[in-house]
Amino acid sequence: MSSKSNRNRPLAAKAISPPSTPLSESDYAFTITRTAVAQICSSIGFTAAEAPVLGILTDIAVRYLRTIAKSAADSANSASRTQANLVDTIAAVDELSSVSGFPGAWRATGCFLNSGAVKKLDTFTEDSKEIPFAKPLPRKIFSVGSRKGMRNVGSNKIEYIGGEKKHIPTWLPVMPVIENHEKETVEKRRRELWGYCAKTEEPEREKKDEKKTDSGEKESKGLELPLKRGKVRFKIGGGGVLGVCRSGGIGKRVLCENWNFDDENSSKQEQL
Amino acid sequence: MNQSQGQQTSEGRHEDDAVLADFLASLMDYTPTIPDELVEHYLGKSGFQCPDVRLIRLVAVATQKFIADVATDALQHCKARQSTIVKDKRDKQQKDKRLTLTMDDLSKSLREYGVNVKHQDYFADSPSAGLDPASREE
Repeated sequence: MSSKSNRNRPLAAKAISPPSTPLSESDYAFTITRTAVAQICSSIGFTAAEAPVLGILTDIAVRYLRTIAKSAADSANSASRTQANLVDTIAAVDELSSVSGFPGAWRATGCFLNSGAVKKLDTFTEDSKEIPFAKPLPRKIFSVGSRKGMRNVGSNKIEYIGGEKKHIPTWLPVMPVIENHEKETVEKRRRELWGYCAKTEEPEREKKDEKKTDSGEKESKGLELPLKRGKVRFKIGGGGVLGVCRSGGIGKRVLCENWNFDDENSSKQEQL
Repeated sequence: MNQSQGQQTSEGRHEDDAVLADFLASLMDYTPTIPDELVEHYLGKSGFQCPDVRLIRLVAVATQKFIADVATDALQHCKARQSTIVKDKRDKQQKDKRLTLTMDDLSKSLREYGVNVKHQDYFADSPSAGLDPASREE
């Protein structure tokens, strides 16, 4: 037995040796969780803990947390929502604490809001001593945009949390930055596509635009009518002289042909 | 009768709602040992999106309670193990009576929560783990 253990000892020592590579984001989070778990253990009464055992307990804590999150997110998604609410979270907590049991767990169709698991949490917060984490953590480190190619929310996160862009979820990619020389690139593309034909049209369009603006100014001036207006004369028709004559009642205008009365009378006389 | 029962149930529901509302309000003042930033990180990784701090703290408190329960059970196992040691050995250990979280205690307490953790037979925690007790004393 002793020879066996001796043979295996170097392997175990190799496994324990600390990694030389720098800590990644997940390692960093794991280390912080381990500190929190160690704090919880010391608050209960432990004076020391074996390092691998603490690692196992930390791993279980992380798994527990992620399982709650996944369960709540799943129930939110099944209700066609993206954001989890209180009911989802309580359902997830109920689901996980059903292993050890809680008062009122037998009610299969009970309302989630009066669940026994949450009441237990309430008593836990009242009874247990409040132990905050050893050090305040910077929030920026956990931003999504630490990796290359992802969005950099860290720099302007306030804008996305409560600012103008608060309606945009943080997991969406960043909008492209609109540059000033965009017009030039558009013109270049047009030249590539249509050659220089488009170039000749542009000045004409510009001229037309200028004319339009002038006429618009005139129209704006013409809206106010002058008090004295000049007489306007116009003729209608080519051969027969047509005009407007007044006959009969006042103000009535009747369209009639301007007969040559003398000629008509003379022709009548001849017939007679 | 039915009406009175219905009134009672509605009153009970109102009480439950009030208890829950009070609990959620108390979470705003309570700072869990697991920091909010860390919980947010893990929740975000699992696809949980919620801007409400109270829900994040609810998850943190649930995790903290779970770990505290497991650790309390392990502590009880540890104390029970120490009390059953033979008297002559106990005198030696009285000097360094330290409550250490060990794998045996943890695996016993985790078994109640449906987690099976086992020490690997060949795994050595300390350099003197595999040696004979006689040689260890030397």
